[in-house]
Amino acid sequence: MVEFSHLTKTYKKRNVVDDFSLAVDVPIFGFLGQNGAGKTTVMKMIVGLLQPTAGAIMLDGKASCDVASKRRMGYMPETPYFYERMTGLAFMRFCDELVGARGGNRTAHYEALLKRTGIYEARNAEVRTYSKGMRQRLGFAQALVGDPEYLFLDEPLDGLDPLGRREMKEVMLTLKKEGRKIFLNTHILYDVEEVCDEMGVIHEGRLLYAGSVKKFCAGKPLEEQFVATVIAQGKT
Amino acid sequence: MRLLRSGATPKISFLLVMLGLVIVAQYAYDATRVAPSAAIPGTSSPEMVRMVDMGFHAAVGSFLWAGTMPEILDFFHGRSEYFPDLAFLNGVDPKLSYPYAFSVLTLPAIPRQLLPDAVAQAQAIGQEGIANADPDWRIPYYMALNYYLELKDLKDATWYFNVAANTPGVPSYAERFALNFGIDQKERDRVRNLWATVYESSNDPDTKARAAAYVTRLNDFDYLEAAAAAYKQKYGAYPTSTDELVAKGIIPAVPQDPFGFTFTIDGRTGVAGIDLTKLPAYVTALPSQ
Amino acid sequence: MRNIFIVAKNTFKLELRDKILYGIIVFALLYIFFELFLADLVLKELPMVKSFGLTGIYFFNAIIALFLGTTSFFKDVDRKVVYFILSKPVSRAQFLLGKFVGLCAVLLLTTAILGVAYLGLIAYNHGGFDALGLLAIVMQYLEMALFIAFALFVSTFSSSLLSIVYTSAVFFLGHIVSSLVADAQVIGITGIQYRFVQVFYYIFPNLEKFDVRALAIHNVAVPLTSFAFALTYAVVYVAFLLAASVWIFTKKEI
Repeated sequence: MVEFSHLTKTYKKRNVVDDFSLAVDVPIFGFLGQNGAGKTTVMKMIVGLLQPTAGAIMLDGKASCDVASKRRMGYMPETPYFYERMTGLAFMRFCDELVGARGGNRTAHYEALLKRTGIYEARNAEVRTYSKGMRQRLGFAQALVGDPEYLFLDEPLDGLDPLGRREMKEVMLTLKKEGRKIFLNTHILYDVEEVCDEMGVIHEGRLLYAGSVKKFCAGKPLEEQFVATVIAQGKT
Repeated sequence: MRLLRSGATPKISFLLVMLGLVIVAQYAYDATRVAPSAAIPGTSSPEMVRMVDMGFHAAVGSFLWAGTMPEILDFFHGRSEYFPDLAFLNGVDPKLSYPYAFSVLTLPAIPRQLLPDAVAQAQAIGQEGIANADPDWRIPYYMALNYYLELKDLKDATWYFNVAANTPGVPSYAERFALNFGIDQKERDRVRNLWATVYESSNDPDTKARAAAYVTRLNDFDYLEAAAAAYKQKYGAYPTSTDELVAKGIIPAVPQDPFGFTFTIDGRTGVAGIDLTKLPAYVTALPSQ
Repeated sequence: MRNIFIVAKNTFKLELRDKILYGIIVFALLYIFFELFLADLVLKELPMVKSFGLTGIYFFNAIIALFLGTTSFFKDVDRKVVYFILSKPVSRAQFLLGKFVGLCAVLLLTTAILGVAYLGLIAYNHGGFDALGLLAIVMQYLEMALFIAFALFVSTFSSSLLSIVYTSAVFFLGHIVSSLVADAQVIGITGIQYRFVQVFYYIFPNLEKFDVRALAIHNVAVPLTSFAFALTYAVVYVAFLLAASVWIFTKKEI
């Protein structure tokens, strides 16, 4: 279970994340929000790239940026940036070693993951030759390299063509079947409808709704509900 | 190690302690260091002194030498910048010995009409080299040659040959020549007087010992030649080796050369000399260049 | 600890693929071999050949250290590659230290290549095995390590261009700091101003102690204490710079 308690992040006197409290225990959870709503900031705080100004994030009772917790998670940043001169396979190995893999030849494992995300063919090519879609896929693959229980994916489908998006959504559903828990950030409402069990609406750093997708929609299209919620927030 | 694994920030106090250690290390280093050497005489500007401090002066001096060396040819056509340029690079790195040695050797080759005081200049540069540069046998050696060949100054020639012979790194052929310079009958008396004077005037025990050795050897030559003359009177011809003098009872034993060479007698002239084909061990043990 | 090694190994491999680095190394080797011709032509003199060799190695290594130190870490942060790394169970300290070790390893390689070429050149010119030259090269390497640590330190808070400026300043000033203090005394600065000069002198990196080139070239023995001091100072100062770098980096928002 992932618990956020009174999570706050302040930049220049502005609360980018504002007293965020939430407990999540479902297979796939989606953070939905406008660009700049604070989704990426929340995710960065989960994985320890940023420190909260106040509050805490717990992974099964332990701080999420503890070494032990980090070993159990995989993270994919929004717009992944790589060492351009590494090959896909070498990058997988590098990430694997950092998660704590010891010895042995894990090449088969990396190749399996690359196959899963559809970039096996390019495994020995340098990342600088990869297209935007290929980079997304590599970013996704490296998140899986340590066999994590939890996955935190920031805009994982960004830059993928329609077929690619379908493929990756299938992968996510397979991961769910394997018993892993996925958190994803997105601003694409359709994706939330398709794969998420529960969702959270973030706007201007605040959590406006958290719970089942169906309940949020209440019969109406998701988009309509979303816009209404956000506008209502703006009025208060 | 756990400190490294966690995301903990090092405390400011830790940083200050480390900085303190840096200061202590520097202080300790200064305490044991010899005082920095005085400014090199002849340096023209602070920039040059700065470069000296950065430790590149040897490279700069070498680089300047590459440009200065060909300038000696200019003397054959008239004026040359050789002397001021040489002085400058000597100021940058006075320890580079080759420029001095080269000057001593080459300057006397310039015709007197073009450079009247070439030899005097050469010797002056040589003196500077002996005083300032790395020990280099070539400087006193070439100076000695100049004294002997150009200035006909036997006294100074002998002196400087001796300096060369005792400079570390002198090759065996040069040492051989230097040690045995001045043993010729014509020059023997003058050289002996030179060394006798040195012996009297010097307070340094090593110099006294060397001077005494030179005198002893020259006396040995006279001794052997007198013995050879006596032999001739008795037997009608000069002996062909020093052993014959002993065998025939002219002298009780062959004197030991203080420099380890073997004495010879020329069978035709009765003149004493040394056997250059038999070198004492310490000469052959020297690295030759 | 293992993470440091992983980052170091990765840094080492990646930087060696950098074209600019290759260019510099090729230039350096060309320089050494050009010296062969120079030696034959005019400067058969060993002290002269040595002076060019040691100075050349020093300058090329300094350029490499400057380039690597100011860009390697900065690029990783600026280009957000660190997002992948720091989201893993790797601390910022481990990452920074790993970078440092990796860059020092690259410099060890370049020093070894140039050093072997140099020693070969000296042996070829009948100079035998130049042990003093080797010592000078080792002490130069210590200076380079300090240099890299400083460049890393400034790159935690400055852009690449500024880092190059600051680090170059240290390179030049670091050798003349003690002259500055001596000059201050000669000029007659006293009181508070002199104290300020003194404080600056003690805190600023003093690079003179790593320079035994003049001694090596002229075949003057280097006392063991000189080496011991240089090593100690390098270790202590590097530790300080790395600790300060970690302190800054840990506070940095990425």
